[in-house]
Amino acid sequence: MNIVVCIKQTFDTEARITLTEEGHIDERSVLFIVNPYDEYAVEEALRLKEKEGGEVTVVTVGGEKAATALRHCLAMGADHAILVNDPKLKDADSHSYAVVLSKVLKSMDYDLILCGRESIDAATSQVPSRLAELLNLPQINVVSALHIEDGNAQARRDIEGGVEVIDAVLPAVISVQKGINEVRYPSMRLIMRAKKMPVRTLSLEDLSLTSEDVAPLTRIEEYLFPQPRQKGKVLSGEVPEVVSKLIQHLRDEVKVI
Amino acid sequence: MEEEYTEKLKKKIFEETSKCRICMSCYVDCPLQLSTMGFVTQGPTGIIKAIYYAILWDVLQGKDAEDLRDIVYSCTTCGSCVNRCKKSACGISIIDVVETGRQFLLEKMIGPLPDQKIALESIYKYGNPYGEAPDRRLSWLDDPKVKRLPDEQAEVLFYVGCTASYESELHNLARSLVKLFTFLEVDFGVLVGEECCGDPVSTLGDEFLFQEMMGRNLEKFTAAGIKTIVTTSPHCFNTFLKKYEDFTDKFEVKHYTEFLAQAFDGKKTAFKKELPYTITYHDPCYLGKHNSIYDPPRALLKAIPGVSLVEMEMTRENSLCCGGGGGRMYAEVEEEKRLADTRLEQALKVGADVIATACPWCHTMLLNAVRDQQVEETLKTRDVAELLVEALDF
Amino acid sequence: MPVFVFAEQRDGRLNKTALEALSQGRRVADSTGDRLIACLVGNDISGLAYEIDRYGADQVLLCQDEALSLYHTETYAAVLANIIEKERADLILLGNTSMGKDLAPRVAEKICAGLVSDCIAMELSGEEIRFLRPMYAGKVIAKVRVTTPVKMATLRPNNFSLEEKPGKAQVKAISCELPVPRTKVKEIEVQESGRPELTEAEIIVSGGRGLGKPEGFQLIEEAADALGAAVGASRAVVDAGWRSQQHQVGQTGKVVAPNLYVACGISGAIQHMAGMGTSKCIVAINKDGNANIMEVADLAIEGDLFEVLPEFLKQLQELRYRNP
Repeated sequence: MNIVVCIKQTFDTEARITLTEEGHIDERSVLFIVNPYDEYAVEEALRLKEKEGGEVTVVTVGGEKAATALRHCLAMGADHAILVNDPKLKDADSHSYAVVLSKVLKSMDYDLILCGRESIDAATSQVPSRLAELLNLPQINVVSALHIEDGNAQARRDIEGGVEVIDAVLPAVISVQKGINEVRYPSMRLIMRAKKMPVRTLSLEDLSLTSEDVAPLTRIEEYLFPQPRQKGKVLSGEVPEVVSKLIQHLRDEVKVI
Repeated sequence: MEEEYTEKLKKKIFEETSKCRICMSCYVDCPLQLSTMGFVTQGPTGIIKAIYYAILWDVLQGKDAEDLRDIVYSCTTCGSCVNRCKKSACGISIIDVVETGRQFLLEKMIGPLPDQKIALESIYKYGNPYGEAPDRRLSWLDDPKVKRLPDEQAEVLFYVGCTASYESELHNLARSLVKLFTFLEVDFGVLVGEECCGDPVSTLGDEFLFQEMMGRNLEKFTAAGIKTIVTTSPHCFNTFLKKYEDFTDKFEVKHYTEFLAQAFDGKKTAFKKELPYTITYHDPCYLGKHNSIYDPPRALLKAIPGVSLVEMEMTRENSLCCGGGGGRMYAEVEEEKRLADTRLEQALKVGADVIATACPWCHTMLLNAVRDQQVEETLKTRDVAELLVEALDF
Repeated sequence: MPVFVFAEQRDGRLNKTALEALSQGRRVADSTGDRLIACLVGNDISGLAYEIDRYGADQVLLCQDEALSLYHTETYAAVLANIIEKERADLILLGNTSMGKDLAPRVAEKICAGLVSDCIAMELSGEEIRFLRPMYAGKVIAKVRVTTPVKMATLRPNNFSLEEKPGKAQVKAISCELPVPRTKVKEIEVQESGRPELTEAEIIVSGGRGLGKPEGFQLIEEAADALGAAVGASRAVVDAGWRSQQHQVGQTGKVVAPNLYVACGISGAIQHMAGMGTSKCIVAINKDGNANIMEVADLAIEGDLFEVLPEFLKQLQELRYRNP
């Protein structure tokens, strides 16, 4: 099975978010990681490859630094890595990413496309579905269990209050949910070894895409910092006393009792 | 390059393991053997032979690989087997085989256990295995007078360690040590930006990540201009002493019990308050079995007026592991009866009302066991330092 | 131009987010003097139009077909795209639910429209709309402008207030050609717990590592049942296997915004806060007074949850006994 996994390099959300003078998110001194959901997707792809044979290619759209995320996946066992890096993608949104990824994929042979259900930075969860539409493929999102048999994907998908058991004809775009598998740990040695592995870098021109083709459909005009929640009341004292005050508050102020 | 590395590991494993005559002397001393009733493995022999044959016969796929991983990563590296093999048999460095086996499994991405993976990633990213923010590491320190290295300089570095820094139950231990060093007028400080010593990394088998942590720490210690390092944890102590390159050339390292035993020698009258406790001392594996430090903690406890020190079964070289070492702090391993629960029973059997120890992991495991068994009224868990502070009655 | 709302229904029941979207849609339509049009897709659901009436819709576009009984991406996307094109809709709102997240981007790409996901507020100035949405685990709010003429947005559940505005919506049946979907729903397994669903619950009682062991959740469940609440869990306990992923509250779990969030033995790591930080009232019970969550809780109780919760249940029972 040839599987393509679309990944994104994101910030670690423990990071302190600050803005540069121009009002953009300051990327200096933040820890970059492979989007955690995408790691599950790569792991799933590797497991399928181990069972069925074939190759796993990881693709991402980003700057030079994004190659590190690709290399992490190579350390895990992916076979090929493709980075699309172009300054014209500076203001890319979900649509832009989807267009670029779909162009890369159109030139490839694949049986299955896997993604993480969303990125932890922008968290729009749009790319997998947009990609599926552009490639005219069926889609299944937020999959917590996946089984491939005879050119069909059998999936379990998280929905509110339950699980949808759903099949799709391959090829398809499938986005995975946390917990679909246990992600393997590449040792520091494997990570260092992967630094020497090749990453194919493409520009928009290489994909015959113009700025217009990838123009974003949304623009972030401003970043605001939400009002930090103020510290409330600390209840202290003997437990019965404290609980009585709690119940009073819940009854009179929050009105849930 | 890959082949070279794994070949090197294989060679080490084969050489050491083939010395084993399966005399089964180590069988009886293995805590894993005790707690899983032999279910998980046939003792230390079983663990190293499992690694040996799995590699030899290339049984490293699918469920077999997972089973092997579970066996190899259940070992607490307590060292009982190593001592026993030295005494009664051919002196095989069993823990070395286990740790090399782990390096091999890690290389094949078969290990570690999923929870341990989280701990490793956290150490790399945040300098501690608990996923806690680095800038909260000193939040336990409520004394502004304590020197903050490297901006300020001191002779002695109080190396707090990850667990004492982030585990709120152990903040009293960290603060007690500060009080003791202050009382003894030690020129000491804590390191701003202190990071994990790398012990879990080494024990779980990521050799290169360990090199990374070692490098980071050596740089910081050198920049801080210190001469002596005193640790809260025997694990940090052991790692600096034995696993860090050329460490003892540059620094002196002591576990706090050794340091305090020397410092309090001749100052016994300082202990003003009588503590009418019946204390039993649990020897941490990495203080006792690995480094032969048995008497200093006991000497400290005996110096406290009013204390009656009683010995449980399985002490000193035969100390029963609490189950926290070898990466076990981060992973749930199925046991018939938790090691710490057995230890509790042993403490209660000798009529102790306090179980004292000198390791943050032993302390945590024992504390959790006390809570689980709901014997908080009967048995208190204390680190030696906490008892000393109580007796000093500041 | 009229505001369109995709009124999500499953099994013949309107999703609460559909009502929230209608309420918000009505507010937006009122500010620009426009109509509110609801899109109802499914089978045998004409009765739902009456419910939609209560929220001020001027028109309900009803598309029914046996093939639409169960949600399938390709069929629903075809219907919605068809409606948007035929009716020349330029603002379409959906709930940011599992269905909404699957459907909206597919439709958006089909019609080449900008889509703002997980919107928590809208700023209207004349004909212009700015959408606000959280990013980076809620640390930052982005103000987004859609540059395409057709604008789509999915709204965060439990965030926009419900506002009833009874009226009489004109129901118009529509039909469109449906593709044969390449996915097939075999079964829907409903998690029967009798408790409300996490993302819709008014009250959530959550447990974390402070519970000590899996059995600690019994107490959480008792407290939840006493309050008619849903049960949530922190990432630590889900990773440890004490609770399934479905119960995880947090950035990599579910984002919730209940009226009351009771955090028991949870330290409040940033990614957990990202999942419940907009709860109206946060009560935290933790032994550690310095835990992160104590800084943001409206009521911070420094104590042992194994003492506090049983006492809470006891006093609550007494209170109810005295005031039936």
